[in-house]
Parts: sequence; C-alpha cells; structure tokens
Amino acid sequence: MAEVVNQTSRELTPGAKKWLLIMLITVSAPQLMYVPLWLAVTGGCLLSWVWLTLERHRYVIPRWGKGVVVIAVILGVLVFSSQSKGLDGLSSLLIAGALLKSMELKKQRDGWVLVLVACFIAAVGFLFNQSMPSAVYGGVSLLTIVCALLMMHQGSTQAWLFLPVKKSLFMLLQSIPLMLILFLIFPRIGPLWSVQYQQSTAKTGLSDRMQPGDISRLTRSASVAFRVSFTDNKPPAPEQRYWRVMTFADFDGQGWSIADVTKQDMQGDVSDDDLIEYQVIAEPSASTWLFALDYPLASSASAVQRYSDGTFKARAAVSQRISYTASSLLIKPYDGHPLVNRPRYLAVPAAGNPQTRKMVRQWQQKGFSAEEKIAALFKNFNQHFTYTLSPQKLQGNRIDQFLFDTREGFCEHFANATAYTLRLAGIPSRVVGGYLGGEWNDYEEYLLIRQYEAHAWVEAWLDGKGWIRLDPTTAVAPERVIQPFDQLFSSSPEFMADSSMMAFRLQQNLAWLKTLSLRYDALNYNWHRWILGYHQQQNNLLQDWFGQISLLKMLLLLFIPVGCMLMIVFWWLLKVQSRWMHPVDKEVVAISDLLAKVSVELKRASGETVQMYSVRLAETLPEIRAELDAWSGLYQRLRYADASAQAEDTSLQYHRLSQQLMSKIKRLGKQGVIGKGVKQPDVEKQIETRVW
Amino acid sequence: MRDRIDQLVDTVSSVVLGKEDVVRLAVACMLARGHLLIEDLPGMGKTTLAHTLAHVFGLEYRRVQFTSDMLPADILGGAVFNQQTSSFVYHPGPVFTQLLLADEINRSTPKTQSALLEAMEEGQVSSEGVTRQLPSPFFVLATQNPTNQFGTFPLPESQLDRFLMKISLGYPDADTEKKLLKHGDTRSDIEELPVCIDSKMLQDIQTACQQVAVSEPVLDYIQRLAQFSRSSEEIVLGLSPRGALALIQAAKAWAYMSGRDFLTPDDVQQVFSSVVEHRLLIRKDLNYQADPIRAILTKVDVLS
Amino acid sequence: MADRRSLRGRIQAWLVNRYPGQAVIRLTQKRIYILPTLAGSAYLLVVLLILLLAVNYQNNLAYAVCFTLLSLFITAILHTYANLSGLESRALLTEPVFVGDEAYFRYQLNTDRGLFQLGLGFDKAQCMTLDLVANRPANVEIPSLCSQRGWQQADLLYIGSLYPLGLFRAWSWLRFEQSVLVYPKPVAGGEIEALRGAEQHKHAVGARGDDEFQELKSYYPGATKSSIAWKVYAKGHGLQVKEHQGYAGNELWLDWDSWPELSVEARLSRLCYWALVFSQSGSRFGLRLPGKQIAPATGVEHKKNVLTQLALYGGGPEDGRSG
Repeated sequence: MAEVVNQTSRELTPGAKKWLLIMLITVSAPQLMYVPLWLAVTGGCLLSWVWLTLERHRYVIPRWGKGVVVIAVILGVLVFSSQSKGLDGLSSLLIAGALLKSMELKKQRDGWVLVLVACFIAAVGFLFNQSMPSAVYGGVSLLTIVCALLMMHQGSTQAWLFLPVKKSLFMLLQSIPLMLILFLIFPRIGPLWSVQYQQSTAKTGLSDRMQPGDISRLTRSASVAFRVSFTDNKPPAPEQRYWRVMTFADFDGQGWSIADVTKQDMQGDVSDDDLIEYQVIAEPSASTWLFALDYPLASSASAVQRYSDGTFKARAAVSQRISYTASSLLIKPYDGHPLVNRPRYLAVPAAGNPQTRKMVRQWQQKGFSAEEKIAALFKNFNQHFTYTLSPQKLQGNRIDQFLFDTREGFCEHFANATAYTLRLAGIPSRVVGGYLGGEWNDYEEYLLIRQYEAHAWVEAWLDGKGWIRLDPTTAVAPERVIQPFDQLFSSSPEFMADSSMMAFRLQQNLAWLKTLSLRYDALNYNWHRWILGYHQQQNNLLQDWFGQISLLKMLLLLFIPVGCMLMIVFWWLLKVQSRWMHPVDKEVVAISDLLAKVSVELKRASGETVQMYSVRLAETLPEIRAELDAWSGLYQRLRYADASAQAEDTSLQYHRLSQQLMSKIKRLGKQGVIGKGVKQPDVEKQIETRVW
Repeated sequence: MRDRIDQLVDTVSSVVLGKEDVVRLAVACMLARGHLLIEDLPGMGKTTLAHTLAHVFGLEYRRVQFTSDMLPADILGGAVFNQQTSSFVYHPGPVFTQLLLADEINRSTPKTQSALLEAMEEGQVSSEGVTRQLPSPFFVLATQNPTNQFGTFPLPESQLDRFLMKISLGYPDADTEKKLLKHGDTRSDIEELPVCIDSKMLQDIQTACQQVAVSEPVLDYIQRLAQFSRSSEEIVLGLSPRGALALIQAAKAWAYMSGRDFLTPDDVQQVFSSVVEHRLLIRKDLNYQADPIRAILTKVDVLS
Repeated sequence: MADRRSLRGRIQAWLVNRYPGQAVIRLTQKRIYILPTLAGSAYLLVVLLILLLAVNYQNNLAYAVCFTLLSLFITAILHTYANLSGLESRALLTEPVFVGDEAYFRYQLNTDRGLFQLGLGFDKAQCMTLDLVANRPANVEIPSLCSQRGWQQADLLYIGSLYPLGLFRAWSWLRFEQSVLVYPKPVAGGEIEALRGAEQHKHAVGARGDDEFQELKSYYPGATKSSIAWKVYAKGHGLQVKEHQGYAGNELWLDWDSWPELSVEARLSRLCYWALVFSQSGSRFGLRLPGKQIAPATGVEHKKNVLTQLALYGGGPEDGRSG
C-alpha cells in the first residue's frame, strides 16, 4: 500500500543524511594527505559528531560554538591555501567547505551543495593520484555520490543501506557506455591557461650535476623511470639499449654540469632500415628531461623539443606521465658537419691531477693516435680496475686518486675519468647521462626501465667520425651491459639500500611473484598508455578505427551508439517486471497460454481457480477429461494441502501430467478438435451456478 | 461424518425445496460456529429453514419476534418479583437456548439489537451483576426484512459482522414452486424429520473444521481479495481484517463439507459473497450494473 | 483581455484546452513533460567546471569523472521519465462538502511497475508524496478548498516526480471530468417555531409520534410486557400482543420564506443548518424552495436530497457534472 506523506518542507531523511556523510568521508579520504593535519582531525571530529546527532538529538553544539568552529576553520584554510601554491590549497578549501556544510544538514538544498562539492572533490582527487587503485576508488566515490543523491529523493520508508547501492550501481552501469563513447571521441584540446602543478619530486637516478666520489655509496631505487614499446614489438639487443637523457659538457675540476644547448630541428627525413620507432611513457620527474634511445632522431610529439646535443627535452616540467613517440638510429653515420664550439669540449682546469697529465703526456710522446689513446685507457681499465657500487670516497685530485690509487668505482667514476683524460689528450669529449638496459615485458611487449639502471658514458669526437660512444664501464665490467642489472648485483648488499627494495628482491627471487609483478606492470603500462595518456593516443586511435575524422563522423559516432544504448536502457526501464511465479503455477499459465493460441476463450480468466478451469476445459475437451481431473486434483494438493502430508512424488507426478496434457492439447489442436463450441470463461457465472 | 452432513443437507432440502446451495451455506455457517443472518421478504421460508436446521441438529430451539417496543430484558431476561418468597427471581430470557431464531431483528430498536448482538459476541449474558453463560452450542439465526422497508432500524455496520454470513433465499424457481404448491405446507413434517447430527457430533465436526489446513497461497489470495475490496471504487469501506478471518473460518467449513482437509480458493469463492457482503459498505449512488462483490472475485487473480 | 492574464493562467488555459476531461488517464509521452530542475542545472555547471579542470590539467581521469557525471545526467532523464510513464489515474467520486470546507478529491492510481515518490496536488508546491507498488492500486485524497456552493470542477491535477536523482522533474497536468457538490455553509440561527407549518401545531420537536394500533396477535416469546394487551388477557382471551404500525416521526418544514429578512446565501446557510439538525435528531422534515418542494421524509438519502437542492438553488449551475 502506498504511503502518503505530506511533503511541503523538503527535509532530509536520516537515511539521506547518513549517505551524505558516507559520501563526504569516502570522497575526501584520499586527499587527507594533502590537507593540513589539523583540518583532517577537525573534520573527523565534526563528522562523527554529525553522525551521532543523527541517531539522537542530544549532542547539540550551541550556535556560538558552531560560529567559532566555522570562523576558525575558514581562517585556517585561507592561511594554508595562501601559502601553498598548488592544488593542496584548492583541495583543502573544498574539503573544509564541505565539512562545515555538513554541520547544517537540514534541507534538501544543503544536501545538494554537499553533493556538488563532492563531485568536484572527486575530480580534483585525480590530479593528485592517477593510479589504477585510485581510479577504482574514484568509481566507489561516484557510487556513494549517486547513492546520496538517490537517498535524498527517496521516501523515508525504504531501506537505506543496500537498496540505494543497488539502484545507484544500475544507474552508473547504464551510464557507462555513454561515458566511454564521450571519453573516446571528445576532442582533447590543450590547456586553456597555464596551471601551476606542484608535485613532490620523483626520485630519479639522474641529477643535473655529476660529481663522482662525493658519496661512497650509491643509493638507488627500483621505481619505474619510463616504459618503451616498439613499433615492430622488438627491442634492440641488450648492449644497444643506451637511453640518452642529458649530456655534461662543462667540467670544473670536481664534477660535470649540464651543457647549455640550443634547440634543434627534428631530423625527420631519415629513412633507414635501422630506424627504430618507439613510444615512451615517462613517469613524472618534475624536470624537463626526456628519454630517447641512442641516437635519437625525431619525435612527433609537440611537447618534445630536440636539442643540439642529441637529447630530447619537454617544453615544460614533466609533472604528469607523458607519452611521446620517437625514432632513433642505433648506429649513427657521420653527417659531415664539423664540431661546433670545439674548445668547450676540450676545456679542463689548468692544473690538478698531475699523474693523469703525466700519463697523457707519455701517450703523446709515444705518438698515439686518438684511437690508440682510447684503447690504452680502456686496456688499463680492463686490467686493473674493479666495478663496485660502494667505492671509496675521493678527495683532492680525484681523478688521479681514482686512476692510480683506489681503482674501483661505478659508471660515473669511469665516465668522469675517461672524459677528463680524453680532453687532456686533445680529444673533444663529453659525458652522457642516461639509462642502460631495461626489462622486457613479454605480456604487453614493452621495455621497463627502472631508476637503478641509470648509467653514464662518454662520447668522444673523432675527426671524420663525429661523436662516438665510449662506455668505459664495458671495459671494466662487460657483463653490466649484457646482463640485467638486478641479476648482476642482487647479491651485493649495496644494491638498492632502500627499504622498499626488500620486497623487490623477494620478488626477483620468486618466479611466480615475478610473473605476477610483470603482469601487473603490463596492466599498469596499458593503463598509463591508454587511459592516462589517452589524449596523446586519441588522434591515432580514432584515425585507425574510423579513417579521416570529420565532424559528421564524430556526430554519427556519438549519436548512433548513444541512441542505441539509451533505447536499451529505456526499454529496460519501461519493461514490466514479470511477476515471480511458483513453478506449479507456471505450468497452469503455460497450459492456459497454449490453449489461448487455439481459442482466446480457453484462456484462464483471472478469477478462475484451477479447479473451475479444469472443469470448464473438460466440458469443451471431453477427450482429456480424466487427465484434467487428475491434474487439477494434483495441483490443489500440491499448492494448497499441508506440505508435510504430501508424498514426495506428487510434484513429479504433477509436472509429468502437465507435460502430458500440453502434448495432448497440441495434438488435439493440430487435429482441429479444439476451438469448436468453446464456452466463454465466465467466472461470475461459474461461481453463481454452484451457489445460487 | 461427512455422509452425515450430506444426509443432513438432503434432509433439510427435502423441506426447504430447491435451495440446496443456501442450505449448504447455512450448514457451513453453523459448522463454522457462526451466526447466520437471513435477509428476505416475508414468506420466503426463512423460518422454515431455521426451524428445520434446529431440528436436524437436535438443538433446543426458540423463536423471538422482534418489535419496535421490545426492550433488552425481553430477550436477555430479567428479575421478576416473586410474591411467595418476596424476592426477585431471575427469569432467563429466550436467549437461553441452543438455537435462537430472531425474527425480523431489524424491527426492534438499536438498543435491543445491541443487547442480542452483544450476547452473541460474548456467549454470555450479564444482568444485575451476575454473568450467566449461554448454552453451548449457541447459534443465532436472525432474519431481517430488506432494510429499505418501512419502519426498520437497520443493524449498525459495526455489529452486522457478528453474523458470519448473510444469506438470502429468494424466490424458488418455477418447478420448485409448483412442487411447493402441490405439497402444501411442509412445516408440519419437520417434527418427523430424523435428527442427523447430535450435539456431540456437531462439536467434533466443528473442531475438525477448525483444523482444515490453510496454505500460504490461499492466505495470499484472501489478502489480495481484502486489499482489492479496500481499493475498489464502488466500495466505501473495504473488508476488515476481522472480515478476512471470518472468510477463512467459513471457507474452512465449506472445505470440510466438500470432503477436503485443506482450503482452496474455490472454497473461498463459494462463501465469499455471503460472508463479505454485509461487511462492506457499498456505494449506492453509483449506477453499477455489475455486483461489486462478484467483481472482486473476477478481478483478483487466483494465482499470485 | 488575454494580455492581462498571468502566464500561469494562460498555461493553465492552454492545458485545459489541450486535454479533454477524462475519467481514466494513462500517462504517456504525449502528456509527460520533463525539464532539468534548478539543482540539475547546478549539477551541469559543476560538470562543466570539472571539464575545465580536465582540459587544463590534461587529466584523463578527470575527463572520465566529467563524462560519467554527464552520462548519469542523461540516464537520469530516462529514469525520471520512466517513473511517471504508464501511470494510470482514475478520478473517484468525491463526497459533497460544505462551503469553507476542504473537498477531498479522490483518485485511484495504478501502475504495472513500481513508481516512487510521486507528488500529487492541485498546487505544485504542496504535494502529497507516495510510492506505488506494481499492480496495487492506491487511493489518494487531495484536499481543495471550496468557497462557492454548487458544482465545483476539480482543478488541473499536478502529478510529478523528481525520482531518482532530482536532476529532472517529470510532470503532467491531469484534467479529470470530476466535480464536487458543495453545500451551503451551515450557519446556526433562527427559531425552530418559524419552521413549523400551520397544520403541524400538535407536533412539538422531540415529541414521540404515536404509533397507530393495528392488530392483536397471539403471544410469542420475547414479546415486550408493555405490548401485552392486559385488558384482553383479563377478559380471559389469553395472552394477546398489541401490534402497532411502524414508527412515524413528526413532520417539519424547512421553508424558504421563514426568514424574509435574510439574503439568499444566508437563507440557504440557515436552511442547511436546520436540515442537518433535523437529520441528526431523526425528525421527518420537508423542504420548500421557490418552485421546488421535497416531501417530508427521514434518512440519509433524504438529507442528501435536501442538501443538494440547497446547494444548487438559483445560481448553482444545474448540470455542472456533465459540463
């Protein structure tokens, strides 16, 4: 029966209030890290208090108390957001506003304010975190928003917990196809105005200054630097996986700093069999460095700029994952251009490292060619040096100390010494910073490069050959190039001193865990590539699928599937829910429907009991009178008699008899027996004839 | 015992000619321990039916003619001054009997009607501070003239439902009437009829009727009927829960008489009209051709 | 003239012309209107803000949130529409009321799907809200103030719903062929003496009418002691009971000319009051109006008859029902 409520004032029901609070908690929970602690604590207290007042109206805070809280929170948040430049301020403002509003939850209008703010908070949340779990969580947040909205417009009599969840889930699921289509085809345009994006700086294996010897221990992390997929799905050989990031051209005696380089046009016109095309998905790094396979040629992405030292840089700091396509050559032919600014690549401080200078002088006295000098140096490395991740500290004439004293170190030490020595020897050289290696993921066919694979090597300018890559590390430890880094050093304690590495090492040791991790990373990769980086994929994807994009096509693409989808939802909504029927009753309906096909009059009338129906049928169909009688008797016993007193096979018997009846009716129908002289179903008459 | 019931019905029908269905309903009403209201024009055989029923059940029987100046004490009894003993002695009224035929009940004033109806409800009479139990079994067979007749006090709706059923005999059909005319008055034969069911057996049967099983689907059906009557346009006041209970009670007796120990919707439909009609307030100012009560039966689906 | 009418009035008039009065109305797309609510518009604004956010930060998950909310908005159209579609409403008979009272217009609502939070009322702002269960007809009564006697036509009935999300309002205006009879407002006053016809002087109000003696019958159990003809018994004729003719009340006349000093409406109000008083006490009374006379009688039907005549006197449109 309908419940009639007068709804002149639209007050929120307790159920709606509960859901509004649940929504608020769910939506703002992930952002608690970004808001000041005092706000989180105040919010927690406020929400628990509001929840308590829902149950009983005892804990009422006086008006002035509320006023104090409101003013204090507003002042605090204003101070906080004026100090923080990024999104934290915005997020705090939104959350504080919603929290304060939750104290005044009375009318439907208040509920609406909360819901709308919650929508916005949910969206802002994705600016902080775009991982897959956070996306799933975002879905849950949206569900609670819909639930709250639904509860606000539902009667107070209905269950408040599961019913709205079910209904909201249905509504969201029905909305998803349309959402996907919009997501797919909505044109992605560039930012309308520049926004400040503050992000905690990601750890990288690279820094903008290279000063070997400062630290005695290399701490590296296993976090992902970038991922690369290749157009032909084949990665280059391990020894060719040099990922160029930056070049260091200026040496001040202690360390190397990044060279000022000029922008350069992309070299897009090279067509070569050796050309490798690939797509990079770079993790955020808060710097402009980008990653490219040595030797980079061109990138189609507008955000990527090529520089004269052969590196790529982003036009703005990489604060979010970006993806870009690029092409490279593994072996770069000399293009004949002379070296620009030669003195710069020969510049060394006038004094220092006397032993090294002496060694170079000896080479020159011997009349070594450039190649011979390099070979001599590498031979020296190979014979007398060891590769270690925890070398001794260097002081004073660092290169002398390294070359003639400690004779141990990692890539940076070798690159440093090599470049210095070559410059002394009159060979223009520079240090290149980047990554070496990468883990091939078979499931999604991409190369995963982690931060611990950071590497440094040297490039030397040989007249007539151009810049040549020299990796002194290969001379010391060739296996560093060929074997995966983690396998190589998994036993050395200095490898990955991070605490998080423990899990990583465990993972590397257990095969299945490694598989799982690879699979997860594959999923993550796709997530980054197709969802988070969709704006970079959209054009290609749509063109691949639908050819040249035109407005008409876009509109058709939008309206045809959306129309179909909406029609389906509409049909589903307007469909009359079929009543639940007892299986025993279903057979009655089946027989009645079967007979109705022959003659409408033989359909069971709504007020007609099965007994009466069978009697009426027996009058028109005397051929099956016996079956009908037995059938209706069984029906009555099954449906109306005491269940405990029944034989077990009554039900079976009934169903068998029903089937038998149906087949007989079908046969009779074919013979044309049924349908002549049919008696009308007149329930009134039937009842009447038996009583009055 | 069921043969005895059939035999009883046959016996009554041999006196009240051509009305076997009504007789069955009346018997069912008594088996369900309910009081019966017979509404009909004078001369249709109401009294004969009541008299015969009393006889074949072997019940003690009294008849009270209700009039407008009747007082409650005229039915319930009252204290009479005895000159020999110089004290008031309670004289039981006609209500102290196993079967009371209350003739033309709607001729008396509401006060008197109430007194009887209260006694029916409670099975006892309170007079001058003493409560006296009515005999068991105790039935009231009341007759009433159609309420639109002149000089009647219609029974209040709230008290009408003390009667389990309201039936009406109606005119006999042509054949029966001819037979009736030929045989003349059959009333004198009543005394010679055999007693078919004695009061011991009656009580057993009543208990058996109570034990008829009512399954969930039937309860559902009854609930739907009640629900429909409440939302029907033609009916001002729908069936009360008490009315629905009465329906089950009567239908159980009918089921028992039909030889079943469980209730089916057929039983409900059979007794529906007579149980329900006087419990509903039907809107009179609408000109409906169809009987709204039977419309309920046709519109409510038996299968849920 | 048309310019002077308010917009609402014009819309009402248009609706009245658009839909002929009916007894049963089934809501279909011809009748259901649907528009975003104010809150729905605010929601769209927030969606737009989120879109700006997504564009500016090139954040595809924010895009996803934006599009999910937008899709939900569009899905809500269907849901809200479906929550009204297929509703069958039927106007039921309305009990007559007195001027100044609220008439309860009764409607029966039925649907083959469950419908939620339907709002019904003659005024959009003041609605009853109810949930409907499939195939369970529900009766609702909607009050409407009656200020004029005679037949009063029911206003357009607003029926609408915000369910499920309140983003949209689906509504319809129903016009039923339905009216209520409004009796004059009963106003106490005047003397009962003035009502008495000259020939009824022997009857005082409240006096019991003598029943006429009809016949003697032989005694039967239960006959009252007072009705026993003791005199006859004394004569040795056995116990006989005096039978009396039916109960007859005194006759009173409600006369239009009793209070010549009153205005038409005041007279009707007073007559109405006395008609109620007499019905209450069960007296027999008749009604004399100019050109109309109702013979004395008792009972509910008679009372209705009298009140109807009073309601429809003179100015009251005689056949408001068919109009």
